[in-house]
Amino acid sequence: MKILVMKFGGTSVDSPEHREIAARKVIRAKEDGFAPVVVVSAIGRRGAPYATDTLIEFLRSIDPSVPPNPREMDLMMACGEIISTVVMAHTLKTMGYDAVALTGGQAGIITDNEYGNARVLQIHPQAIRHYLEAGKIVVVAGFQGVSEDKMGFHPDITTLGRGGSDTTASAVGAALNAVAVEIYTDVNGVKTADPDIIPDAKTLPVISYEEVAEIAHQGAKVLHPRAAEIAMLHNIPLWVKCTFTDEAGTLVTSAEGAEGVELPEVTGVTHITGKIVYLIFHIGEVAEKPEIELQIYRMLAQADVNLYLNSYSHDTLSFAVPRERWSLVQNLLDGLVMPVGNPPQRLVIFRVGEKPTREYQLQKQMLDALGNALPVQEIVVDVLENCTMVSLIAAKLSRRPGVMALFLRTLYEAGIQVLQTADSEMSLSCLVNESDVEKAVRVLHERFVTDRAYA
Amino acid sequence: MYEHLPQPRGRRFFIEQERGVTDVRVEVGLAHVRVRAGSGERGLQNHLKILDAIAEQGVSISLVKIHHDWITFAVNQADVAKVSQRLEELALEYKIAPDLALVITIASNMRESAGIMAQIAEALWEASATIIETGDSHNTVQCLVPEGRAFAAAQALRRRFRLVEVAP
Repeated sequence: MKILVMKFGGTSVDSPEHREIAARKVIRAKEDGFAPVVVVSAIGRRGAPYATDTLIEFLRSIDPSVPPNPREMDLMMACGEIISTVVMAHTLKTMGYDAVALTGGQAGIITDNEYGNARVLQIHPQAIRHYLEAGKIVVVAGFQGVSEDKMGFHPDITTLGRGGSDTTASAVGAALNAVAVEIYTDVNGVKTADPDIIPDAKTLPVISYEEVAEIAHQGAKVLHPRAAEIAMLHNIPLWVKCTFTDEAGTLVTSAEGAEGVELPEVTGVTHITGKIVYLIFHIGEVAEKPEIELQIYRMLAQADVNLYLNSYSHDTLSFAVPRERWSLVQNLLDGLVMPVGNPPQRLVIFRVGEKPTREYQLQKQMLDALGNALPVQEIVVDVLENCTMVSLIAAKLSRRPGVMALFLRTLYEAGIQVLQTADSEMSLSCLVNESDVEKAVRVLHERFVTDRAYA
Repeated sequence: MYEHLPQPRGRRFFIEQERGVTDVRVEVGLAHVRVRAGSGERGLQNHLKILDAIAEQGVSISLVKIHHDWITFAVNQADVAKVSQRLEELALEYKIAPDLALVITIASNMRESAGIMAQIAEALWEASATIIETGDSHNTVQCLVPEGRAFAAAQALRRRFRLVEVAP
């Protein structure tokens, strides 16, 4: 049995016409001799009656001051995919094909117990196989599973977090050893850049698992990185295709799986959409620098703040925090007094931003009132707000001598201020002001993708 | 009785990679280069001059960071002589810290894991491994530390992230 997993996102199933187009693709696969397993997302986007965001807002609207329990929120969110699954199965039935709808739990998807962001532990695919062997098309609700058995109780419904239906498709494909997983969306494959910025961005015919995971992590929205990572772990070919055309799309595979098609030297240029705030702590060239850094990290960890683009120098520490956490971070840091040494040898006080705030001044006055019991050092924290990151994904190039110079030259020549850089085996990234993002994407795309100036 | 002992990980996940840290690796034989490039337009021109000069030598660089007055990067220890020679020719102030190693912490989706950097810094502090520079990607945090402390740092990280089995 050649099992083919076909996943359709929310915009692919948001109207009877679109569902029919999706269903015809499934029927064609069935007629071509495949055993299709269809994975669907909830119908439509925010505002549509059964979209995930609509269901969340409905629950929250009962009393916005009382957050719903994560368990109940998962139960609520899972309804969107369940409705979509039943609708798709019935659509197939109306077109003359026997189909069966399964929730994530009925499909045997077992997850850990982290509501809202569960990970797939294992899949018991007996039910899916049973229905496939009976000649039915199986439609599975994306984005959900059930928790591990808890003391003999019925398990809870869990959801898999953002991009959860892509994850479901890959996981089901892995468990069934599918010949391929096809992710259908409203674009015709993986592009070399965001087509909203580069309208003539190319569609890549083939891309490696690592590259697609990297571009997804660096901001591209075409496929969730967890789906790519599962496909890579289990070596399942993954296709990104358009629901509304018959174009070939993009094959995501291993280097060996590319079968003579050369993987690109430059995969593309991505940018993250969320703003970030970059902080530079002027700690000074002092012996206690590692201790101060550790205390900063501890405090932000306790506040559950993610840090990235970490950078050290002989006298500074720098990192970025998500924009939505900045207010909290600012409140924590500004005017913070930290003893240094064990027993304390001196105190440091943090001043966030150019001008001393009222909070800082009050703290400083109180410290001054203590007299000179311990020496006090001020640590100024420079704040670069409204930044974002632009990345060149180029696994074959990122460590090649001269490429970082070309990357920076391209940006400098365009008058773009580069606030920081980051590099890995897969990519070169820069932190720029949000107002420069589109220009940075354009000039990097032109030089590295269009002109291939590195060659 | 042994509840406080860390439990080995990675036993339950068959489909998806377990969340959190999954491995720690060490790469030895590195050096860290710090060059005073200056600031403003002169700084930008010097960044390019420095990177071009290093590239002409066929030297691969990593952990490139731009600081107020400096540009810093890591090179293989074997390339230090070539790098020094070019920087001397450019007549720029520079410092090279030799005998370093990269301790690489690997995790699935580092950027959704608050507190990992704190745990890494704690482990390296315990191992007396001073962090010279760091880099991070979506699945790694790389810390450049003195080579002599790198393996102690890796062990401390493995203990902290429960990557080693602890006998009851």
